[in-house]
Amino acid sequence: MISVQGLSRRFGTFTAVDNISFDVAAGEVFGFLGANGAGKTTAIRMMCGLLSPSDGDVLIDGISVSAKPEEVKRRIGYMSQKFSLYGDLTPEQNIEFFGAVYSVPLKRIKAEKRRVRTELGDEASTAAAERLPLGFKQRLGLTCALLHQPPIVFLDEPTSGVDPLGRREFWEDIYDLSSAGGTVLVTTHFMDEAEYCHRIAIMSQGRLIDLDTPEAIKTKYDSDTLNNAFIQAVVRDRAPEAEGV
Amino acid sequence: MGLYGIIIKEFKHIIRDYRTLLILFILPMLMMVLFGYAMTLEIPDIRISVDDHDNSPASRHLISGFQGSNFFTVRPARGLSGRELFQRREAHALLTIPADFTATGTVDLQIDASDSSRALIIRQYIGAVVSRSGGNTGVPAPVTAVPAFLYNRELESAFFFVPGLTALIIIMVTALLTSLTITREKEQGTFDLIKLSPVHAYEVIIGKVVPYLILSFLIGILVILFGVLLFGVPIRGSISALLLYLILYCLTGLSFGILISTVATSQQTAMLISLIATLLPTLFLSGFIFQIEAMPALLRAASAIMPAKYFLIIIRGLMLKGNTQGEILFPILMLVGFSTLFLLIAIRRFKHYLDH
Repeated sequence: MISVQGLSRRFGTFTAVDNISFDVAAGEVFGFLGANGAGKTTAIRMMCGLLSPSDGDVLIDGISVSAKPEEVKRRIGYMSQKFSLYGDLTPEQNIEFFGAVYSVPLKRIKAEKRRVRTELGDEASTAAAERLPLGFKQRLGLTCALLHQPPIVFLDEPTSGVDPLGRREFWEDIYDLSSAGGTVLVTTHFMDEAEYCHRIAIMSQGRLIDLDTPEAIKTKYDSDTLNNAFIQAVVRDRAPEAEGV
Repeated sequence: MGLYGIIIKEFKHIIRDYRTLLILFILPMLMMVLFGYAMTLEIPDIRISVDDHDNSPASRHLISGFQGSNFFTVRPARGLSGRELFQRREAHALLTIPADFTATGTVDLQIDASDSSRALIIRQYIGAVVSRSGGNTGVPAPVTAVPAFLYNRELESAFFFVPGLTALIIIMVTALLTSLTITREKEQGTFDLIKLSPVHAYEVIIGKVVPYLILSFLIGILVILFGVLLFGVPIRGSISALLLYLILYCLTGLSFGILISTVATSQQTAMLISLIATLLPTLFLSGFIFQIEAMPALLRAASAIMPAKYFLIIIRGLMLKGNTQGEILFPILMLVGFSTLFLLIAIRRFKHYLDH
């Protein structure tokens, strides 16, 4: 579904993403881990076409993102940690807008509005979206990103700042998506969330340093928690540089 | 569908932010009232002091000519000479009538020119009074010019500033409105989602212009209505033509704003650019206050790219002169040209922005 091929991005002399390649299969929940500044966000922005790569390409369903961005647009949904809906509009108005922009059938727009209304209650669904609690905001963001029912979804730290309960609800949404055949690529800092992923990729200093199932990664670094495995992986990656200094 | 969605969304933004909406309607009214009462171009009271060295029937007749006029107050001497009153700034002008006035018919006039435009008007007014009483001196003027003021018989300053202020207010408000809309989305991050969605650049641009076109058209109507009702400015040409070109001018301003918003990265920058690019040039270079013909070549050339200059010709033509549309065809075409140019560049830049 997603095929990342030798993707790089340089900003001046700084290389944010350094020649990464991997494939994500249909229906997979693919986790993207990495410390702050490891290049996760830059990579994900290139994958959905918000940023043009310096080198390499991304194929979505076999279609090149950089060559045919228009054809890719309807196949992907994107949501980031930053609340990027219209805060001054109500949740329902946001749904109406994104529905119109993607030419979503009216029936589906109505159904989604009804669903959001039952979840949020009458008052919250007709007040400005910026006043919603963070967890609800992010789930509304997901609803809007999925309105046009894209087969592939990119989620960039969708749950940062959300409380554990909200996170669990959010991940239930992700699982529903995956079991319906959707492909999900998600970045996260939460190791419990990473455990839910079918496979995880670990990024450090712009490079992909490991890619496997959570179980295999734990075994590889000989730790019983993913948290330790992740720290091990990143520290080992940084170590040669420390010796050089 | 995308275009429709964006238009509806922008309307909702406007309605949701009713405080801004209120300011948008109140501010132009406030500017009108302030200009209307602060900016009077007639000189209501010219204080003049007189030194009469002739003291003859002729000189007294001349002085009574000033005393009889509504525009002049002849300062009483109170034991001071006219010159002393003038030097104490109690009088704007000093009229010295020499001892041989009856014979020669010549007087000496000194005007306080610290405010030069005022001094010019004072000279004209005094000249008029002096030449009127000139008949008595037995020296008839060979040619008499009787000026007729067309289009503004009473030289009402409202006739002058209402069209000018309309042009100024509309270009400021429209450029500001649209310059903020796209930059706001860039700041909020909502722009990423627009970029990822299948909408076309022209849909975003047109979708953002249409709601504000309606809004600024309403503001424009209100401003003109205010000028007509409160300051008695006439509409001598076709009202429907005036409204049509008001829409055209609003479109020009909005397209300019959209163009700014494709350049500026933050709302603050956008606001600054749109204010600097509209307020000062319109005030100085549009012909609103200063005569374009009297400017140096460089400024004259700069004024040629001021949309407000052309709208001023149109609105003055339609309100004061009763021009037909044929007579103001050139400025109309210029505004059409500006709007098209701004919109095309904006769409082009925007398309580039969406694809990269």
